Amino acid sequence: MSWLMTGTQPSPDARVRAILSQLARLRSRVNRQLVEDIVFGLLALLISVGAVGTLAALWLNAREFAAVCVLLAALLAGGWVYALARGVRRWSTLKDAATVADERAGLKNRLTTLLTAPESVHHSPLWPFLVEDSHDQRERFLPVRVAPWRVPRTFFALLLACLLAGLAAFGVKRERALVHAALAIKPPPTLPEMGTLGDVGGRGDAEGKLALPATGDQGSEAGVAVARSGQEIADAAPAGAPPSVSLLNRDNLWSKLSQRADQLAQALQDKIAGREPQREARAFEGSNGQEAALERQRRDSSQQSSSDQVSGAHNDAGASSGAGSGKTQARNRAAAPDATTRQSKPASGEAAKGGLMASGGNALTDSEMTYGQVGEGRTGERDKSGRPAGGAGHGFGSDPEHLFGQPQAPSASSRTFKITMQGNVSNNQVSGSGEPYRPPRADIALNPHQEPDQPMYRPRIAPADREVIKRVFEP
Amino acid sequence: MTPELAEIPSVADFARVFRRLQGEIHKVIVGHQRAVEDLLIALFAGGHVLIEGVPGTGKTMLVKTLGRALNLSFSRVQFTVDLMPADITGTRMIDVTDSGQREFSFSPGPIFTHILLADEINRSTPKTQSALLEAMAELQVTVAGQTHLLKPPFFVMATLNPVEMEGTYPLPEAQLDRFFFKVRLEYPDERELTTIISGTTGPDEPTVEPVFTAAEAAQRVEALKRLVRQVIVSPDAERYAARLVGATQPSNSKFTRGRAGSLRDEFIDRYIAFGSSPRGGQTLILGAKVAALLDGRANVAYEDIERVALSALNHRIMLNYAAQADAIDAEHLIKRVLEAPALRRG
Repeated sequence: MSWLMTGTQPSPDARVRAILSQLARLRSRVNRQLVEDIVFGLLALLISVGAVGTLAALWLNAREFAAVCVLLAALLAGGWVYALARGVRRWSTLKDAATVADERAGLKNRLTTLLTAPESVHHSPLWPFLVEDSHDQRERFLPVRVAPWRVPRTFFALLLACLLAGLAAFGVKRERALVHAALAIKPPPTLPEMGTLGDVGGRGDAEGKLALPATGDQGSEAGVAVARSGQEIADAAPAGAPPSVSLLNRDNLWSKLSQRADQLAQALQDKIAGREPQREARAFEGSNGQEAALERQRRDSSQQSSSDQVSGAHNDAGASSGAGSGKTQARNRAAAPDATTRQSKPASGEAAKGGLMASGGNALTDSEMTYGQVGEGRTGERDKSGRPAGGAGHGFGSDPEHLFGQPQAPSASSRTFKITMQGNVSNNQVSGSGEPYRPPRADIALNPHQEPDQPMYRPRIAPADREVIKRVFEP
Repeated sequence: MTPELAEIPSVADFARVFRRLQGEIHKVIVGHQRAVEDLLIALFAGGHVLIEGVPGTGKTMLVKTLGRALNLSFSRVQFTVDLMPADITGTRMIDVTDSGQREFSFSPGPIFTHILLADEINRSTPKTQSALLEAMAELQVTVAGQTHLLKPPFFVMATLNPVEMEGTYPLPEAQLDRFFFKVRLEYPDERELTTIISGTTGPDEPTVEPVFTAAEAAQRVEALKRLVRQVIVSPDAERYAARLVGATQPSNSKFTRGRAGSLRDEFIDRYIAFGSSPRGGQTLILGAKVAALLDGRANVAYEDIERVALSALNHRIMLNYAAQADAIDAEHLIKRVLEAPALRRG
């Protein structure tokens, strides 16, 4: 017994106080470690959820991203509740500290007995022995020995979460770099800026066609890609109803909630991927959200219907895709294959080969026009009716009525595809003139505002270009 | 040292006496360390022991050696089928006084001793077996309406021969429950058997030195027994003992139905007909107290309870036919209960 060595025997109460004081310090230490563990765990959870959400924003479409967000939010909330409940449950009292000390220091319930024994036991002749015995074991249950600081397991989870966050940050950085690079592309030059294009009409293009520059291979691939995308959109839409109509018909609460969730998810994705400036640049005046977009879609749809009836043949439906809905394009193809083939005026065989052609059409009456839509036509290919399906495909753009229509709203679809068009000098011979027209060389994106996940839409046409375009496209 | 501690033996005294008794017994008894320790634990806890073993394993020798080491009075009763209760407890006899008058006087039976060896207790009828009940539980004997107190310490050691079950009367559960421990003596291994042969076939037989003098033996043993009762038990340890006992009770029994057991084990439900009685819990704590003193502590630890659990519970668990068919014994089930981690801190 230690007091025998020192010659001063502390009273049993003093020894009990010393033991309790040491247990209190142990309890503080154990609780501090618990707090560390929980904080690291919560941080790991928070960072992991953020990182996974960021990666989901980059990789998934709006609907999937919204679902992932809901799951992550539930996981986060559940994780917090679990961590807090675990913290409350494992928060040590003095008795818990005594139990921990008994177990870890091998004290065989000495401290627990000392702490929890009923008051009546304190008069037992063995009570002083128990106090003295426990007091002598103080070195064995020093807080540093019983609860040495170790790296919490959740710290490793935090490290993993940080790694995940780093991966997400890298992905965001890469995505934003791509977006900024796309934004850095200059807007397409106006036709006067392109040089002598205005002389085309004066030189008398016999067929009234403008071979918009595009290399054969690139144009061909892009045309095929766009057509495929349009077909996918058409396939995805409900049978028998254009997307705009079906969109309007979904007026139940779930649909609204779903749309709202999509919008929010899209907005969040844009924010994460840094697409906001681009979106804002594409915003139309007077646009106020979904209603405006729906209104525009409805108007475009009606225009398309009337256009189909009056001059649907001007749409090169057999080879068109892109702007507007693929469903509409598909319907056009099905409705007027003959007219399409008949009205479509393919460029000369050489020129049509994989190139982008802006075919001449009716007189231009509207104030705005669109860039031509990309077609999938290839020389030699035939449509279902056996007629040649080649030639330039321009969708709405092939019809002057649509050339100068209202700018189209970006579609709500999140189908992803990219188009990069390159204008090159055409080698085509233009009949009826002494020298072939050689358009200026210009490397332009077909539409610099084109979102990777958006079908092409009708941008503004500078007034200076409109007259030239009219002259080019008018017979 | 406080005055209270001065009145009774200290923890160190207890351990010293205990170890010395063990040493003296092992001069004669080779092996069986666990059985000897259990025997002494039961003695100081104030219980009685049922010793089970095949013939020739030293059951009677063990009891006799203990009596000699403690220097206490010792009686041996060979239980047979024609043994009558009066042969154990004693009877009234007609006695002629000095004045020539005849009167009944009580002639004490062999039960009036400190240590009683009831050899092959299962060979006597239940009526005779029951004669021990009152003496074991209340340390008194009632004959012809007159109660006679037994001198403490009173310690019954009954032996049981598991073979030759022909013509035997298995102990009823109520009587089994009154035994503190059931100790099993197993065959010695080769090394132990060699020691036994060489030690018992030579010219000199080992002698046992009494630990106490005859005058103070009973008093010293009683003092040590009082010390055992003073050992401090935490509520957690008491709950653990209660959970252990509860865990041996099948949840599908009509005596436990409707109560959530501390351990729901399909194994227990399948093989146990009746679990331990509350006496099992008392035995666990008392035995653990002795084990704590042996370890030099004044408090009971979980380890102490586990140390005595097997001997305390194995004769209090009644197995059903399924257990016999599958060759499952009580020891196996108790070990399974002890290994359940949910019991300790649940």
